[in-house]
Amino acid sequence: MNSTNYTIALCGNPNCGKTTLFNLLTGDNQKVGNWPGVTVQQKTGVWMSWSNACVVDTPGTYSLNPYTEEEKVSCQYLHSKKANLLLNVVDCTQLVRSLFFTTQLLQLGLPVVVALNFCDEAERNGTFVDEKKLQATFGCPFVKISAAKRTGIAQLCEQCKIALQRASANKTAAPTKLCTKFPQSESAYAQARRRYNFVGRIAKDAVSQTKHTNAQSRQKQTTQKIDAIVLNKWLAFPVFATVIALVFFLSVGSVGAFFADTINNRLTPLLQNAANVFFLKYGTPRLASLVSDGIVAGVMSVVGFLPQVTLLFAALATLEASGYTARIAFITDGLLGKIGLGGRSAVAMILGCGCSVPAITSSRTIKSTTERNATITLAPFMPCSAKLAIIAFLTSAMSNGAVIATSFYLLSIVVIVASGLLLKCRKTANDTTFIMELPTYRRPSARNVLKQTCERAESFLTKAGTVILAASVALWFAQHYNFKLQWVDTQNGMLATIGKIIAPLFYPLGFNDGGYGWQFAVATLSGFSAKETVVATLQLLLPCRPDKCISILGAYSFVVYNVLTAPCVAAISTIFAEQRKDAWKSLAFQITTAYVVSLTIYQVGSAAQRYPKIFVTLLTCLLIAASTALALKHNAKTACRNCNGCKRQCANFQKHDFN
Amino acid sequence: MSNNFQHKIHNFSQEFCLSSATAGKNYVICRCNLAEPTKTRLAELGMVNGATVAVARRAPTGSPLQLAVQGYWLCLRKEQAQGFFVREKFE
Repeated sequence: MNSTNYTIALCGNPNCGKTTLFNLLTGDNQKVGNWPGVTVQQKTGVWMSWSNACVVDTPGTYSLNPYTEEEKVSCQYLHSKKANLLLNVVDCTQLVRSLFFTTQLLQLGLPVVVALNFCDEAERNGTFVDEKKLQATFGCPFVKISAAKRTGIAQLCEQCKIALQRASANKTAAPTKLCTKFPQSESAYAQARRRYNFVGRIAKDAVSQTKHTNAQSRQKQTTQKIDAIVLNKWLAFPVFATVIALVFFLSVGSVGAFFADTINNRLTPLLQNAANVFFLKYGTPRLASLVSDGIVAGVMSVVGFLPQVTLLFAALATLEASGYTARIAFITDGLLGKIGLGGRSAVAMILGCGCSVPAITSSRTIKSTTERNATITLAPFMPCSAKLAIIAFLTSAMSNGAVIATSFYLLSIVVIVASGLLLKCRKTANDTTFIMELPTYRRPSARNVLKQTCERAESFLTKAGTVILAASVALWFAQHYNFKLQWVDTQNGMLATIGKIIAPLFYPLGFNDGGYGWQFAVATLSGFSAKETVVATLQLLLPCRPDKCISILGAYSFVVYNVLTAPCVAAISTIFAEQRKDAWKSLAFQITTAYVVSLTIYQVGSAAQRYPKIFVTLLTCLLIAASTALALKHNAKTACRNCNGCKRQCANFQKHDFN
Repeated sequence: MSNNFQHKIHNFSQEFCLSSATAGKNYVICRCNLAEPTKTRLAELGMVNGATVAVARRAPTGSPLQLAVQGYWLCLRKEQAQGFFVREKFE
């Protein structure tokens, strides 16, 4: 990176295609999506066709006055003037708002080149942007490109080179004409108005509509039509539920399960037999045991979930690329606001179905600190793809596995809601805002979805080849040797000794239901390295199929504990990076919640099995009490229900605001 | 100055809260009573005095609102929309 002479910063509004352009220029494979806030970290790469230029991808920002955490990163970088050239990416379909940011960038005093992205899309919609006129007004080069269609890149490169040459020739290349228009002495609010008036006039002059004389383009009309259904008052939630159900049915249920079964039932025994035969002939029995019972069993038990995980990521990538993710935030914000979260938290939860790490980092787009902390604490409760492996491993043997597997997701949501309320009681957020742009729908590009999916699959396999492999070998060793490094029976190995010490901790949760308490306890602990390890450990340690080693209730409680407890080490370090000192509180909260919830489930469940009549009576009483309480609360609220933001309320709001 | 002048011309149409605006109609923003930094941020997103804004729809639970402003869609909670005072725009 040091060999490069120039640093070029990609900057612009969120969701304008900076990362797509970055991937195109550097050949990198950063995550892209059609919702504001995909990129929350700064990334650096070398421009492929121009090797002495280094490109920096910054998180999208609407202005140089930062509002959220991820914007602070961009603004600090842009203000630090480390870059030699600012490559401002402008969304042609949202010219006015994008050019507002350009007017701010020009005042930084660095050379600016503007890339007019999504030109093809705008022209298909009948909007033509005259880059010559813009160039004359702003005094910096404008280049029409399409990052998705890969056009205009050569010209862009050329303009960047010219701009850099010009900048090195005379230091004061920045246009001064604009600076006088927007004096820095004015407040940011007053400046914003001036800038919008200026940009609005320019945009009107430079844009010509051909096909559609009305303000709305065809793409927006299509989006409106889809949104009329998807965001409809009555249909929004059914559609949302259907979409999520479809994602999981396709990836986990039907297609994924078929491939996973093939691997688990055919490939694994085949490999184990082959390893056994080979090492018994050319090695020792212990080596054969290490390879077939340790490595192959451990690693393959995780690799077996590759098809499901890959399909899940493909489905989530498609969802993100289409623009529906932002809609999820829009429709759920009202409900999540009641539990101290917001619409952005919903996005984090959806990302959390794939992996907790991006879910936690995506919380940077949340403005309110309280809301952000709550999101970081609660997002790992969502079963990630690795926890999905645990769920699938234990439920696949059960008769109605699919229903039970779904119940874990519902339980996670219930736990999130309950903990949200709990956290809200302790600390209410008073600075909550929800400000988000709704992007137009775009057809997901197959190339991008495929690329992202392949990358996730690769990282999954890498994990299986490194963490899981190492864990399998270590576990096999600890299982068969004692502390004096003597080959002993599994019951007397190191692992059994340690496991038997910690196992009583988990007896109240029912891990010892089938007499294999320490095996399950060890598996739980091993989940710290990666949640897939739990599956590998169980495969290694249990002498029989998991459903025969533990009662259904015990298995349920085991999965609940593993789904809710503190996440893997990767996610924990992410929590520490985001929350710093508060991270301990989050982890303690997660572990406590996991313990309490699975304890309740197991104890109540076993009590219900023993005394079914008393249980049913108690449950009925509880339900009646709860519904009465709810009805009373609802009645109290209906007093001003029809007052949908009426004048009186507005007046109250003002009073509240200023006093 | 110019703001006051406009104010006098359009005196006949009443100012009211953006949160109680009818979906589908066009409005002009008159003033904003929100606290900083949200006030500035929304101005930077195009919610400046004199800008045309329309309520595209409300979320199923009544909040947030989907607004059409400066040629794009912006979502705001009801609490923030209550800070904006608008007047109906006559074409």
